[in-house]
Amino acid sequence: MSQVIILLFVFVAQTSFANFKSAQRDFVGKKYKKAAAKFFQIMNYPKSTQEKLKSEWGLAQSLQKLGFYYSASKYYSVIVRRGASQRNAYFRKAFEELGEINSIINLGEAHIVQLLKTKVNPARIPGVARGFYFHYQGVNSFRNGNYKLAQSAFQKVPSSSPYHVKSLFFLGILANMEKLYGRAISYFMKVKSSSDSEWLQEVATLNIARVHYEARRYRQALRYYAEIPRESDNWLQALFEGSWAFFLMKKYNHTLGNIHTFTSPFFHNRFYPEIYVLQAITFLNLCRYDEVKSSINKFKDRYTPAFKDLRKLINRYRSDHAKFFRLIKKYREGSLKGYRNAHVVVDSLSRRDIYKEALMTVRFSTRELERLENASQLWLRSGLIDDLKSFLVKKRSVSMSSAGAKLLEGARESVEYLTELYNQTRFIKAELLLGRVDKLRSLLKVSTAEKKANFIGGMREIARKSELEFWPFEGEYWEDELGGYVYDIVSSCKK
Amino acid sequence: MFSLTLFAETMDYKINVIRPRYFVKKNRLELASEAHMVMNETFTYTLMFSAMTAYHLTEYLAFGLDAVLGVNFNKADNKTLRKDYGINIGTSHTRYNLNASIMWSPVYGKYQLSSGRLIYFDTFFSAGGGYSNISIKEPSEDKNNNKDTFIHLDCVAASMGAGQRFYLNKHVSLRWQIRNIIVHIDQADKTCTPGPAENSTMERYLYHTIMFQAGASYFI
Repeated sequence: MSQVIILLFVFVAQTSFANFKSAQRDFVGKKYKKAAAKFFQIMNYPKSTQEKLKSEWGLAQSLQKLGFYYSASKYYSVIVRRGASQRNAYFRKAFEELGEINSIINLGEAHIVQLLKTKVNPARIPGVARGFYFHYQGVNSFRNGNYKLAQSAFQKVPSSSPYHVKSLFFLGILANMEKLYGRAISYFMKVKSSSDSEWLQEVATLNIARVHYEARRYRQALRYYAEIPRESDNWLQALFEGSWAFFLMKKYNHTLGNIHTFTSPFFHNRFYPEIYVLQAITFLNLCRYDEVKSSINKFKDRYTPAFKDLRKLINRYRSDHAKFFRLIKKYREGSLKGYRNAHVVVDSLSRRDIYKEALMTVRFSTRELERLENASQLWLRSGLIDDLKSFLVKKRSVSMSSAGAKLLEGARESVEYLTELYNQTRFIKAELLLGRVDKLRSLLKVSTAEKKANFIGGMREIARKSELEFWPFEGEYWEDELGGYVYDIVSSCKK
Repeated sequence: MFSLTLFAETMDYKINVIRPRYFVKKNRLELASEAHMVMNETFTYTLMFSAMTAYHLTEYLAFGLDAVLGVNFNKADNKTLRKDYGINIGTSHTRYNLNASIMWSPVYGKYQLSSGRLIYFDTFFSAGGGYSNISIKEPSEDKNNNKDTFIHLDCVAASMGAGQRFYLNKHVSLRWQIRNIIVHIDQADKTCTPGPAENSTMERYLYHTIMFQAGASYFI
């Protein structure tokens, strides 16, 4: 009897071992679909721990070769979360592959945060993946407010890593927070010069401008704001911040000129409510009280209806974050009919990085799910499809609800922001009615007046030999004129 | 138009756009090539081609040199008159012209297409002088001998014109103009006379070549 059992055991062992070998053969022969199905089966019914680990790795590799990056990341993450040990031979490689996948398609912050929870000795992080590991450790610490830890993590990102430039960017932000302006600018300059990404170069330029602005070097700030190209998503933000720089330089004609762009129909749906307040206080400094009232009224007309719809929106979706994400997606697709008055805020939320990143995760997950619908019968029979589907559906759902929660928080912040601005306008209006104009103007007193700097439209200083063109604005907005307006208005203040 | 003016008049301040000029011509060399069609010839077609170079001293003023070369064809009417009615018409046309001119571009504007794209343009006027070669066909009076006589005159010419440039990008523009090249011809002796002869009853006239020109230019 025992001989029969031994024979059976050998037979079964040989069969299992043969399956793993055949799976490997399929992998080497580039028959990745077959290999994936076999590795999945062996992984679930391994004859030994080693076989399980090897088949996990083989499955992840096969899926990656087939372009199922998210699916592959599932199994790489399982290997990584097991931690670095002698028994976990694929830890280093799995970490490298995750870094590689993240550089192709963003794994999503939620996924990476889970990975970082694994307790790992940093010395055991493989060279190639160190950049990935420390960069996201830095990002996670930054988001949690642990700035010292974040700084330490970003500084460990190797200069050869594709995450190095992004880490420099964060180091610049951290330096600016410590008011080390020179250092911050130096980091952003490095990002500008070494990044291939146009977007990152622009944001670095914008941040250099902001550092100068914080250091009250408004002329230099405007120089960098002016570098943001017209076609950029950051252009309007640069124009807005440049308006404040002009105000603080007492260049009211340029402040009002910049604000004029925001009132054009081209930007009707963009969320910059503060421009009306800036416009009001600029007119106030020019003692143009009718225009002050007009600016305040325009703010109220435009944003008072938004409060009602925003509060409805926040109440409705306070517990269903994924649905809120879908609402914003609907808006971007042009099919959102309701909450018309809140569209301006929804638009601003849809431009945030959180939304864009989550959308990419949703798209890639959906794409892989669609591919799974056409996957081979082998995968269906082995149970691989069900396993992957459940992972991808969960990933998509977590991404949407996580992003939705942050976007809803953004909506709440927008309501608070509007409330604060609304209170400011009421204060200005009240002071005007009470005739306390001088007191109000004294609160807005700007000490920095740079008389040497002379600007044309577009936040550019006049160059000595530049050829200029001059178009009077007669009520018609031309797209090529946006950002180039300058008021010709005289102060009505008695001297 | 009324509402736009009203907008400007209701405010006691102005709003202007002040920005670097989109297309700067100052201190740039323009190289152009155009095809010409002479518009004031009754019995012949004259097609001409020109090459031009101009240096823009300022945004408004340029100095140019151009060379024009033409080919001439009889119109169908001319052939019909000769063939069916035995009438041989005397004709004349400009064979070539060398010209130096001053261009003045006082008008700079823009136009928005329905697609939203903006086209910048300017309008210019030119005046100058040079040299034209006029070919005059003296029809044969001998009906048995169809050999016509051709006289070629090299005359001092004056030119004047007006046109526009439409800028496609910071280097290339499409251009057109209407130009008149004027030559003073003595009809009797078939010469170019610089001025009216005293005590002469010889017929003199100003020979006009009115051309419609269209082409492209490249700014270096």
